[in-house]
Amino acid sequence: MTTKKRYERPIITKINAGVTDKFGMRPKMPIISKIEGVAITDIIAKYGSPAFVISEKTIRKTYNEAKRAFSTRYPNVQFAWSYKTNYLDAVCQIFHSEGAWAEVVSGFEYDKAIANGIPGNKILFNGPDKSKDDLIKAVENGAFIHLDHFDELYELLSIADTSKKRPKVAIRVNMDTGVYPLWDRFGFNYENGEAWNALNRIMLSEKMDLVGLHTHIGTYMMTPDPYAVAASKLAELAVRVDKKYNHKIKYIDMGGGFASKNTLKGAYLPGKDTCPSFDQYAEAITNALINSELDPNKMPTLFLETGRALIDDAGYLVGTVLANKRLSNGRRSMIVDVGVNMLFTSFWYEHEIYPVKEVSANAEDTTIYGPLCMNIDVIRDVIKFPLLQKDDNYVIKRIGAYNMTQWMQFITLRPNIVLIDINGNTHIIREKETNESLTSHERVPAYLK
Amino acid sequence: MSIKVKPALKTTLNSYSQIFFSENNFLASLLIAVSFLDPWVGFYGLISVLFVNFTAIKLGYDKFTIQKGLYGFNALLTGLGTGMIYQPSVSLTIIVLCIALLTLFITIALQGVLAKYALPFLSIPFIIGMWTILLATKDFSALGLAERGIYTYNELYALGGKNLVNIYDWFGNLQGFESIKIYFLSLGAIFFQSNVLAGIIIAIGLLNFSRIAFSLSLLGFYSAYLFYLFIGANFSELEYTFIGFNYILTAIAIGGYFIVPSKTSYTWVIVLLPVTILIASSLEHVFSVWQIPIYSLPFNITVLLFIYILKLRITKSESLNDLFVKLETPEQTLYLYKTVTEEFKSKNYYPIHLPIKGDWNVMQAHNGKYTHKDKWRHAWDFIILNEEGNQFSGSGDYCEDYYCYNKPVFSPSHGYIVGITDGIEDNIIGEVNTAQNWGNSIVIKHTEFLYTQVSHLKAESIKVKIGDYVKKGKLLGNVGNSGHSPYPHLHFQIQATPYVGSETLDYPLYNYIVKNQSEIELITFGKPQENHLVAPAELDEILKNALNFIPGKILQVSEEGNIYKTEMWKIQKNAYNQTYISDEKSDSSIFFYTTEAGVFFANFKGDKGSNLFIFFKSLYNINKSFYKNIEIKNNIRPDLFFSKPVMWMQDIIAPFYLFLEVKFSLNYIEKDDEFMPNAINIKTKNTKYFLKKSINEEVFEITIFRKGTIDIQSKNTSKKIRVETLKNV
Repeated sequence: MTTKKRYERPIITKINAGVTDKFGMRPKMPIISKIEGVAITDIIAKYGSPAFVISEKTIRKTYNEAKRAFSTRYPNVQFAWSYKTNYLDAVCQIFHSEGAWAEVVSGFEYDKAIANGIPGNKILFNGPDKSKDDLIKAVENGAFIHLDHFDELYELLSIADTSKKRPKVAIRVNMDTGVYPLWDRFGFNYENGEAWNALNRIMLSEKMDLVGLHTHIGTYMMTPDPYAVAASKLAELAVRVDKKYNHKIKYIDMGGGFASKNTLKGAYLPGKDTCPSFDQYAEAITNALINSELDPNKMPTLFLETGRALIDDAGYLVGTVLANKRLSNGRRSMIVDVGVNMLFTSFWYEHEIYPVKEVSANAEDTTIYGPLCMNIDVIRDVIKFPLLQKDDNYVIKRIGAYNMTQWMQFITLRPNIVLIDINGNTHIIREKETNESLTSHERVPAYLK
Repeated sequence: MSIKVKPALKTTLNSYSQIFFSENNFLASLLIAVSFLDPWVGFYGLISVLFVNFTAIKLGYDKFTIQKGLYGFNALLTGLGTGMIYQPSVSLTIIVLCIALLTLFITIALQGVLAKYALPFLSIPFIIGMWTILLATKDFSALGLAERGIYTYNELYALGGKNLVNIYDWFGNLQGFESIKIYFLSLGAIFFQSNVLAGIIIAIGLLNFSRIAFSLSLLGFYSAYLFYLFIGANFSELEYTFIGFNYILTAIAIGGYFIVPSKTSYTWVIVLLPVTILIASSLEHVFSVWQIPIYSLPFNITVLLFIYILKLRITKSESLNDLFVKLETPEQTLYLYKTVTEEFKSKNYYPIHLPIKGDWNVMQAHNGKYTHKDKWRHAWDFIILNEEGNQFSGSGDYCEDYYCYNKPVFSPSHGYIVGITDGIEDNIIGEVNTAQNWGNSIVIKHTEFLYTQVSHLKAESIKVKIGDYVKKGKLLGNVGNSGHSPYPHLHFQIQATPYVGSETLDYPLYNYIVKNQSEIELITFGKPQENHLVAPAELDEILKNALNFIPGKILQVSEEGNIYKTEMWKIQKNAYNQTYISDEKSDSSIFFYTTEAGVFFANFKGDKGSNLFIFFKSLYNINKSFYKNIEIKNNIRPDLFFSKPVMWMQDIIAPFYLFLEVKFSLNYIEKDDEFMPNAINIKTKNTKYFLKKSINEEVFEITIFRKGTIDIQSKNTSKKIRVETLKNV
């Protein structure tokens, strides 16, 4: 018996005969049918559509690549997993098993790290919002508190008066590294002397141990050079502290902000060709530190809190086409079962989206919409996309960062998150939501019942 | 227990015992007693010693050498010899002192000449002194010849009455035991005594001093004795004894003193004795012309000749080691040599670190299968592999795909940049540039005849210039793919000459770790092997601080539960540039070596009941890098751990087989905080072995604190001591 041939709707395209133009031959979109050897159709069949898929192998591989880039250039390097990027416990545990500490920015994340078995003395506590209770807890656990503003410093000083333990602190420093926008809302400014002022207050208070210097110069940094500027400014501060107080800074924390290989909206060339590699970031940072005035025999440990670049590649979103339609201007649109409620990053990136089954080479300019009943729910404004039909599957690549933390429950429920372990076995690491998951938190006053 | 002896007395005692290459007080006391068997002889010996040592001190010679008895023993021998030949008188006293002075001068002059060749003067000054007096006194009628040594029975009777005469007769009549008698006579002859009693006393002293020296004296004596019998030489007992001690001394010197005792050294004794006999026989004929005896001349000639020719060897064998440090007794030297050879060897190595940071794979090691051959066989090629064992990501068609490409290369040690090749472009992957074989390279001079070379660097990446002084860890350049390099890698070699591409040296690398899955091995000096995953070892701040034993530092030691009893240990340095920790109260010392990464307690001297001994055995060898759960293993001298009677048995066969052993092991347990630790816990163990079977072990739990305090608790005795650093007193 012969199977019925797949129907493909007719399209009209300009004949592109003769010599190839500057874009080369007519492009044919590749397909992705498997993730780490597991067929996407199987995943959808087993876990439903849509589903988030995370590859453990890719996480470990990326982590080691990053670590190798730094540790082959600098004697002591320590990564701290940026919880906000993806704080699924399973994901955090993979990073911790590779030796990463935890970098948290709230009491919630702090407790999550502790619950993941990370001791306080392996937690970097960042962010402008640390409650008094959070600070007390962090001091008691010996966490590294990265001070963001003077009010926090004063609060911590008063805590230090009554605490048996000496707080271990670092300050977050913001500075002009030659990039726009200047991230000056977090931490103490370098150029106007606030950072130096804060350091002096900490040292003179003699109530806390100044252990580190922290900066986070921006996000999705498309060039490594600003890191070199930042690293040398922090090194200079460390040297000044040493000169004035004979006190060695234990670590320099360069924060995160490394770009993944996603293409930002409005970028002319694809991210995978333009974003720097770990090696390029590492080269800039370590060279700046090695060439600084820091004592080469007592180099501070280099901390890195990179999140996005470590996890983005490991995440996939698989789903199903809901419908196709023609817009008023004649452009085709495709409605898929993933919306901006789940794929928050589609506001930032031109996400790569691929069919999972072999289709013809024909492609048409398409707008991909999510399923929400909201005008802003656009996954791709325009993409030359093959002619998928209802119930066909697709996969969106490189979505591991931020989506599983910044997503929201809106209109639809959040789906399963599936982990493919290094042996190719799949595990649910977050169950899909049910109405119950939401209503269990709701309370209806008796009189309304 | 060692008894503390005043320096003046020690100097005198050593002047006696030094004849047997010893500084043993008991042996010295017996030797003095033997010399006083004839009171006048003893008297002339003693005044020679006192006079010469006093003069040497007044003239300002090295107090250490004087105290070792090295200036006194030749004068002692001339004093004894002269006193033996002539009747005591005032004029003889003056002559003895004159000749003692002459002997001292000759000693010092000879030392001045021979020291340049690292040779001892042995008893040559004595021989010249004796010849001088013998030849000179032919004209001195005032000196009457003594009759001693001729009327043996009279002398014996005077000494020990009838009984002694009987014993002497009994010995003389023992058939087949004649050789033993001659042996004792030969021993006695060293002190110009021609009676068995003197020999017996000396033999007892020698046995107590060293079993190896004693057995060597027998080996020497019997080798020579049997050789005489073998060649059918006609010799009388008397004639023999005046030559025989040469063979005993030769055996002790070659078999156990100047060479670390071993099967080979014993064999050489047997080989060299006939040679000594030939020298003795021929010289006797020469010197009979002037009617002077040859004394110990054959011994001097053989020993000096042999140890000199050994020094000129190009390759030194383990079994015939003439350079090793000499401890109090040959057996101590042997035990130390057997247990710590590796450490002793390595202390002289210049620390050459890996020129890289982080984890690298050894793609080609020494005697590699690709290019590390012949004169260039002692080199390493390093690359980086990912977890899957690939050295590149992407297609691997471009240098940039390779993990190691463009990685920084660091100076492996301090030194001067003496050679640079730059400007050679990277090869296309798969191609090699044989015209410029080494590619972009840097050669660093670390010390005389010790250079390192890194090669195949990236063009224009070199950050240093010729003449720069670089510290260890200084950025040199980046890994590239220039020269004979089909894909990016770092070539590293150690060489003796300053040229790019010089012949390589077989030289170890310093303080690195080898990772094997989850296991880590810490290597202080070693040569990475092919496929090893290596990384430079990082030193731990706490260990670095606590184990920084620099001379001048003072350690305060207290015992738990005994707060009133504190000891002060001083870290000092002696004239031989040896560093040691001394505890004056128990008169004990630990001699130690430090390198950048480790402390090694080479030797312990003194009271084994002291806290210092606990410190010695619990921290015997420690590397200042902390890697959790790894183990360091070493052997310790067994003679510090087993009781005397058992050790005596071991001593006798020690050059051939050790049935008693003690092993030290150290485990790094944990830090109280991985990033900012305040304390480090380690566990060490001394395990005693009898015939390779473990029979007993002592475990120590040690905590080392950030401020340098070291707590040591023996799990066996529960005794806990705390060692704190006092900067000043």
